[in-house]
Amino acid sequence: MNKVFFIIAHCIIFMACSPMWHLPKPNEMEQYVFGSYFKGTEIEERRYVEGEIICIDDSTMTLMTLNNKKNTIVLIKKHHVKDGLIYVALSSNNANSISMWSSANMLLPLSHGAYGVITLPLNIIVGAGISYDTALSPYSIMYPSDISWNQMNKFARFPGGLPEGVKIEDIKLR
Amino acid sequence: MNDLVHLDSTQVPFIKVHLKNGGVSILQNWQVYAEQDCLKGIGIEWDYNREVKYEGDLAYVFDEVTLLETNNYSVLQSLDQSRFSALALITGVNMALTIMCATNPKACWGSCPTFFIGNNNKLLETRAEGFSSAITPSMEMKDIDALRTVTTESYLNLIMTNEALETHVVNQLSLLAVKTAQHESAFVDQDNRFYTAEHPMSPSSVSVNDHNILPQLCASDGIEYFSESDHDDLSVKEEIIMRFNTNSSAPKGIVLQYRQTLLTTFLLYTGYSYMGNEVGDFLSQIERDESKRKMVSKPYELLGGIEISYYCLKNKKWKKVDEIYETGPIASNQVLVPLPDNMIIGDDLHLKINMTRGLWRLDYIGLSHNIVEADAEIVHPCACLSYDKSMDKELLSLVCDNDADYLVSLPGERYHFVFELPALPAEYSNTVFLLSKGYYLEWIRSEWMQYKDHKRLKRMLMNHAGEWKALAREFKLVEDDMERAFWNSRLRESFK
Repeated sequence: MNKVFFIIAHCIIFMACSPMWHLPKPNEMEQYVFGSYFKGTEIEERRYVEGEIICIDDSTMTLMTLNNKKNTIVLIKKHHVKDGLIYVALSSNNANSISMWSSANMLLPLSHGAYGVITLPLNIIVGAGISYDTALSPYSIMYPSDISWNQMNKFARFPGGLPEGVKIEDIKLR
Repeated sequence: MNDLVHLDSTQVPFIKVHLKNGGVSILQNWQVYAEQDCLKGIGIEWDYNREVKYEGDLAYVFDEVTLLETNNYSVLQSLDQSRFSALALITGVNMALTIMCATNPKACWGSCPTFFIGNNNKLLETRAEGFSSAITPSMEMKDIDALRTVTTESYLNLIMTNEALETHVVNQLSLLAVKTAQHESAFVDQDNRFYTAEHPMSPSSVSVNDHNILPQLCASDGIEYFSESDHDDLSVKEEIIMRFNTNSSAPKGIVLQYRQTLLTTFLLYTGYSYMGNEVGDFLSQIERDESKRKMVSKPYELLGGIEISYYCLKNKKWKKVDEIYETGPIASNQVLVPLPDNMIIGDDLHLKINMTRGLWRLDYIGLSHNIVEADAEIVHPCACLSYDKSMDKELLSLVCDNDADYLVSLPGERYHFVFELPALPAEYSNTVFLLSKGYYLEWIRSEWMQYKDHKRLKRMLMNHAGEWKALAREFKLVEDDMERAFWNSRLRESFK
């Protein structure tokens, strides 16, 4: 039972700090006009950095994140990025339906009498597993193993670099 | 950009146009107009903050375009299909169980404490179920069961489990050890007297309505004789006639190993379901009022026990010897029924069993000679491991004596008791019996509530013929499947 609690707790904690709110569903990708979401490790200041990829040039990646409800710009030097993940899209078009279905399933063991002792944990494990997988298994690309720095600009909001005349502080997040 | 603008637009259904001002546009049905140095299509344009700027027919000269982009998103498929399949599968299992429990809610496991002889933590067959008919505190009872264990070991491990949705309240738990020689067996009778006797012999014939059932009853092997209940009357009896090749005048006793079918479980759960959401009120009335307690036992009087008779050669009549009864469908009970010393039987001993059809499962019938009343030494547990396998002296003190202290066991719990058996002379063994005292409280299942019917409850307890006919027909509907459903609903998962 401890494992179940661990999975649920892990799920809640991970959900809270995940970029899922930012990502499009697979069927929304064609109409998606924002940058992908980057989470990575910066060596220089020994910190985790994350945010929507606004633009990337040869030496710097510009991320935008929400910090205390304010848009915050994070500039990271190429040689300071140890590794990271580019989150491209969710892997589910029906996350809410799946979550509701899983929750409804967890109620059914209440009608199972003595069997419920077995079916309730089984439903919790399977339901939590599917919900976890639905919510927290987005399509992602790992840097630097799967993609080089020069290829990452295609995942930025502005693949050609920050447009002239646009002030970075005027850019809004999704 | 050049590569893209020379693509066949029918092969690239959409194109993303990044503009120098930071805007972006996604065009469908797009086309390049080379002579005008522009790109036209239908779509949406967003500004650099991705707020929609235009929608509809759009055209861009290449000078204002910084990048053209198209993508193959076929690799980004939703993985929902596999998730829906998994959910559909588990929902199917859930629904099947829900339907099964809804149509047959009285088949769910009810057990009272079950006992196993444990060796190296490996569970063997259920050897006993304690105080099965003690369903309220005032019905607390002492129960002695043969564990069918003969041992020369110094210690015996006994595992007590709660495998049902019940609260078990155990007052006392002890073993009773009877010293037996190699040629002897030890037995207990209905009145808790102990005997040693020769090993039992099997009958030469056993029949029901001229149908031979000796193969089912010649050994204690779990292969049982049982019959189906009557369609209209749950109290219809059947007769089993048996013959033993003996003309010995030595004191004899018949050894029976038996358990109940699920008929009494069905009736108990039906009674609870008729009480509906007032089950607590009814049980408290039973607690307070002796007459109510008697009323509860009336249905069981209607069904009766296992009546044993012998054929008296002198009177040419069957003479009743005894009637035995023990509640419980899980563990087989083994008892000895001493036969009268003054029987006139001729060359063979003819015995008859009268019992209610569909109520009993017989595993073994034998005849033991030279029965002698014996002493049983009481053995208290010397150690107790609780369900989390920690040594628990406090638990031990709760069950050592018949006093005001009780061990309360909840569903899924398991306790491991260790007993130090009496020392033995060479070539003797201890035959071990279990003494358990306590009561249990059934957890009322929500599915039962829908059957609330006090009128039917009253008629049932008053042994009303019409009501019992209806019960017979209802039981008939579930009789075949109930045994399987019952054993499947046992709570074993939580045992480590």
